Amino acid sequence: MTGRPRLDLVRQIEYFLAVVDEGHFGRAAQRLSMSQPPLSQGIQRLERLLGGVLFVRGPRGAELTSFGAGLVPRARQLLAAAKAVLQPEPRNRQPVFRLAVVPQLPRSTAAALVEAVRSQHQHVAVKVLPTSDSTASLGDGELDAAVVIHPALLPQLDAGPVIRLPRDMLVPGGHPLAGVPSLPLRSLAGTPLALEPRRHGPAAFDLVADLVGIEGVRLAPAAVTGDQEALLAVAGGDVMALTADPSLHGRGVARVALEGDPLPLRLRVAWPANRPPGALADAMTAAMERP
Amino acid sequence: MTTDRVSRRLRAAFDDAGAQGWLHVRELSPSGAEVALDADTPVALSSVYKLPLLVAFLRMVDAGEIDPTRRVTVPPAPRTAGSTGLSIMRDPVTMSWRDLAVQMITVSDNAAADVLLHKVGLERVTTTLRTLGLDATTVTRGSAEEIAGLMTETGAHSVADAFEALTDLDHVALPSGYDPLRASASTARDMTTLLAALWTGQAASAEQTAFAKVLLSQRNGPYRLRAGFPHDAIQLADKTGTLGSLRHDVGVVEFPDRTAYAMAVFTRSARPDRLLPGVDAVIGQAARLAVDALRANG
Repeated sequence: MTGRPRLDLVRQIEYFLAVVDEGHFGRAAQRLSMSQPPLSQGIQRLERLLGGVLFVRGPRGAELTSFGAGLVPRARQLLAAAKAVLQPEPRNRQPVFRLAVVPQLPRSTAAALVEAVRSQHQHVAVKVLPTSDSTASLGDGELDAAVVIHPALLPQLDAGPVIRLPRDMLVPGGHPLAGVPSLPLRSLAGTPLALEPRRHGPAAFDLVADLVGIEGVRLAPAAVTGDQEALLAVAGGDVMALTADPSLHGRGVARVALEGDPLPLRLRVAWPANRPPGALADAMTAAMERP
Repeated sequence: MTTDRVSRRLRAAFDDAGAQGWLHVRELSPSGAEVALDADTPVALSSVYKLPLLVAFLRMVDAGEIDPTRRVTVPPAPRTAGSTGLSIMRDPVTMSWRDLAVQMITVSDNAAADVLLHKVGLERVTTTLRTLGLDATTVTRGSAEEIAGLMTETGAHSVADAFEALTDLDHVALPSGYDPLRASASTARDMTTLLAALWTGQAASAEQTAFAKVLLSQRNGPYRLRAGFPHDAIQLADKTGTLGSLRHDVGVVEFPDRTAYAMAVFTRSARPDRLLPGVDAVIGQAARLAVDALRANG
């Protein structure tokens, strides 16, 4: 299909995507606060314009044809671009730089990172998000950059080099090896290890699970997210947990360095491939690598 | 199951395995019922390029341009590196053109593939692709060039070091072999189009079609599509491709009731590890999800 785009194309594309998302003409009409006949007519006009059938009406509602499925990505792009046209251009005001960091990022490192961003952006909004949430938000354009745990899937994203922060093991204060400053991971095999929930980053989770499994360490059934939860779980006395924050201490919790730092916290600064942060990317990485 | 629901389940399966996934499954029947997930996005093929090369070779045999039984001698150097077949042999090897094809498909022999590619030519492969309606597929180079590129890009001095560099967790390598604009590339949909053409006898003569089906069912390699179809009674003929974090499998599955499905699943894992059996397995699991959805609707 070539030729000049039609004036009502954006509306028809909006109808089309509503039916895609709802899977049903009636519900799509409801969502658009309109009746069904003009919606159906709009879809039919779009089908004539494109020269192909977009939906098959079946017992379970409207199902996309392969021709229709092929249109979906371009349709979403068009609708997003149309919405962007209506967004007012911000005047005389630098936009807020939207940043997310993982809960495992040590507080002092996070502060250094934000300072680095502030040197180039007057306004910074920081969220603490697990890797899976950050990669989804980056993909949706809701974030400008995020510190994520490596390895993770980064479709449509780019990322800086891998940053390694050493990690110690937090063990219960009553642990027989609690006073020993440095140990091979294997010697801690008797105590189950609590990790962050697997859904936060299956690849990074499985990597650690595979590595500790080789050394005979079992995983604890309950997960912990971030240093605070890790400290409290270990203080509870039944599990051990990893931390990259050298200042993290608490009563009833001992720190043990792991020989050879076998389980460092691996991080990357990620951003949308179509909106690279330029020199700021390097500055963020450098800020996190500073001891 | 609605198309959207299948897509969501496929995405969830790939996410859980820590891999990005591209999939196309089509029933080999007049209905041509299909399931697609990013099926029109080009992906670098790695060794899956050997399948279009096989089809181009078969068509030259059919046209009388190659005598498949004619013997050729492959000297030890230059010979493309690899982990199987002629690639790991030390001395001159003499075998027929069709046995080179046997090597290329059954053990993904890089050296045999490059000898065949030299004979067939990239241009002929492209003509074959376009004739069969594969417009999104480009075969731009063979294994030797891919490996040479990999060595340059990783700064490695040996082939082994180059492949080792791809598994480095702390230095993320992005060789051109991952790049659909530079490597040989295709879409999941194009690969099932090719398989469907081959299986229905439109790509080559009955004799050469039968030869190809036997080769593809005698393949040795990791369990990928097979992981989703775990029974002797289900026949599988397929070709895998592997390069660093790319793990692919394209093939045809035939059930005891004779219904058959062409399927192409491409993956790219988040982890750079050489061995990721969970990602191998999700290739089959995703294909099975798609096939089950088609069988439930059919």
